[in-house]
Amino acid sequence: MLARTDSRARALILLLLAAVVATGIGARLAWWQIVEREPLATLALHQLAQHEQIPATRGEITDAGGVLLATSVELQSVFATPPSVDDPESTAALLAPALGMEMNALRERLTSDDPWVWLKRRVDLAVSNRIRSMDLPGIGMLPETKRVYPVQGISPRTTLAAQIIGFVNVDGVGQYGIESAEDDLLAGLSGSVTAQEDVIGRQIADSVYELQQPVDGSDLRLTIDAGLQHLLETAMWGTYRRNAAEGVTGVVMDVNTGAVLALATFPSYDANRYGTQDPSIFTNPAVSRQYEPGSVMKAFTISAALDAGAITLRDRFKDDNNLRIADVRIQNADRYTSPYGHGRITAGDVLKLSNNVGAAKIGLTLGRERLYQAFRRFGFGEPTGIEIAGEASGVVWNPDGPNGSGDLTAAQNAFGQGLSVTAMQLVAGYAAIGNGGELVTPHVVAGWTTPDGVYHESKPPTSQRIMREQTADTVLRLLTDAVDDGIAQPASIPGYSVAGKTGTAQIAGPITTRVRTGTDAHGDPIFEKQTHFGYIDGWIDSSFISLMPASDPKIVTLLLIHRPATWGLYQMAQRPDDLFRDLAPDILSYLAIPPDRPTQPVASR
Amino acid sequence: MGHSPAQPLSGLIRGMAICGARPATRFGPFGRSRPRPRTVAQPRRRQGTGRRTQRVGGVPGVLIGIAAAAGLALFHLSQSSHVAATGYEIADLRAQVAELRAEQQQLIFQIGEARSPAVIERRAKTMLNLVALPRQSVTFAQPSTKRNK
Repeated sequence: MLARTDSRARALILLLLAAVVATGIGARLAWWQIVEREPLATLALHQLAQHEQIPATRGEITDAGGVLLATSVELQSVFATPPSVDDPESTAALLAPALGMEMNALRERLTSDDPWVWLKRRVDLAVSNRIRSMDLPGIGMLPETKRVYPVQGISPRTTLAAQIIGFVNVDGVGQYGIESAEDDLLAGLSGSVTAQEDVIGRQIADSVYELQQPVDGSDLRLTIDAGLQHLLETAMWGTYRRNAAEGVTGVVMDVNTGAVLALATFPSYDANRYGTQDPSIFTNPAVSRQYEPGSVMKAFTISAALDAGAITLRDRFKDDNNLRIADVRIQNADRYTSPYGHGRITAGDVLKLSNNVGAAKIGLTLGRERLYQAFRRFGFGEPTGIEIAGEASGVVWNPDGPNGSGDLTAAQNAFGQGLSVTAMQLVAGYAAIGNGGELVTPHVVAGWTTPDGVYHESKPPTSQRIMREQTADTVLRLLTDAVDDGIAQPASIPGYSVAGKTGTAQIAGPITTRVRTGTDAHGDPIFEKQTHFGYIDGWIDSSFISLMPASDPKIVTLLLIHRPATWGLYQMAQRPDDLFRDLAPDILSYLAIPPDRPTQPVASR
Repeated sequence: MGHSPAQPLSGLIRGMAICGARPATRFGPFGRSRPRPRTVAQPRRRQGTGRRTQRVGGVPGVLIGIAAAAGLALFHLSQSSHVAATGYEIADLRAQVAELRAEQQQLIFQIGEARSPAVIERRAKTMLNLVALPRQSVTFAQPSTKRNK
């Protein structure tokens, strides 16, 4: 008979062994979970969790009346994972017509060594639907936002106020115009999320480790009125074509607040397709192009001289069409019709006749230093501060500075040559004449609405008094006379008083001439091409600037034609004052500004 | 060895148990060369009976604990699954919202296009044959001073 065996000792030993192993495992676990917890947990989080950016919604841009000028839409961007593409050849053949891409370029991307490539970003809704229906292996789509500009411009392939608004590039960064200048306000702050994702990239609920909510951008409201902008663009586009000009600029601004109501420039572009446009037209010439303004500066010279008490309205200046300073002869624009000048003329006559000699003499009577300081007070030589990117400062030389030529600089500046300004600086300067002597800051942003729905009104810097009110009123009256009785008479319109000034200035540029430098061994002349900087025949900037109605100015309007096709003595298809006569009644009607002068009875028309 | 059908099964099992007993084996240096006689079986059996009574009270407690833990684990698992499933539903709904928002944005864009002054002017002229009013027809009403007074 077999007896039972006693295995307690073996069991005890096994137990001890098990206890040792368990203790070891427990100690290791404790080491991992207590001592090394933080680094291991971080490592695990990095392996499991995905960190994604949550883009903020970019703010919209509307005009003064709420017309949507810029918004964002969600579109699909098409990508490929080349290793997953079954048949690159047939895939490329299917996708090329849908994406509007060349077959070779597409095939190159589909056979790329990269694990992931973009094929085309932000395709139209119809295209994305078509690609989705193809269900091609290795081809996918991701949503991306695209900035769009819904309001069409008057000319083909343009959007309204494109050079005011600018555009947003493929990376979502504002470029040019307000999109660039107010990018921080519009863009907002993107957020981020760190969470686990499943195998197909879907976020697993309740697995969010970190969440930073995005802060959406603010909506901007402009001072621009889309209807008025359309009116101005229509007129400027017409004169741009008629004059075969290099460019045109039109500005309408409130004289009292500095709010820009319309700003039209051509050539312009389609902000929805900026990638296909010439980048040189992206900047807004009204703020970025510096040019010699010509006779429109005479109003500032007379303002400065009157305000300083250097001249009175009764003072007369001898105009013999021949003023010599430092061997440079200054003549009038009408030197062919009045070769000996106009005799003794007043400051009012200077504006009526647009007289260069008279303006130069007034400038010299005031004194070159005081004239220079007065121009600086009017804001020339520094940016106005308008919220459009790329604003230039213009150049006004100190007559006694290293670039100045003493009295010659002052005399030339007095009638608008030898210095450069921007259209916006001119408009701001004339607004000061129209509003009683205060320099306002031109602005295009009326206000903005933050994501919490609170509207903040834009507060431009307070205006600065730059001349006495009496001086401003006097110059306004002289400018009104210049339109009523002077050479700007074509700009007069029935029913309204208009204070205005024409300006035509030559454009300087490089001129290449053939110069005889000597003779060769055979006695034949040797010629060389030499380039110097000078005024080019036929190249002009022609402008008309006005204050309406002159009895109580509400708006200042600048119409500028850059390098029109000219013939004879600056003859052109449509002069700015002619354009003004056609356009001004529409602007006044649109803004409901009533006539301030008796109009002719209807029966007599 | 034969068994009649009337023989109780317990006896058979007991007999098999005896047959199945094996001699003490020697396992290296820890084995025993001969079996140790059991001389105090009776008292130990009594003690064993007492212990068995205690075990009967402890096993259900452990089982209940295990069952409770398993239940909790299952509950946690089901809740986790439910949360995950709900999460996917929420994600799907969010995707739908995003899709609808994208469509809405497209519509807003189209409305903006249709409201372009240039488009309105073109349609007014070409589709409705409208013409611009002559400027003479625009008149401004003079403010009524009497009414204001």
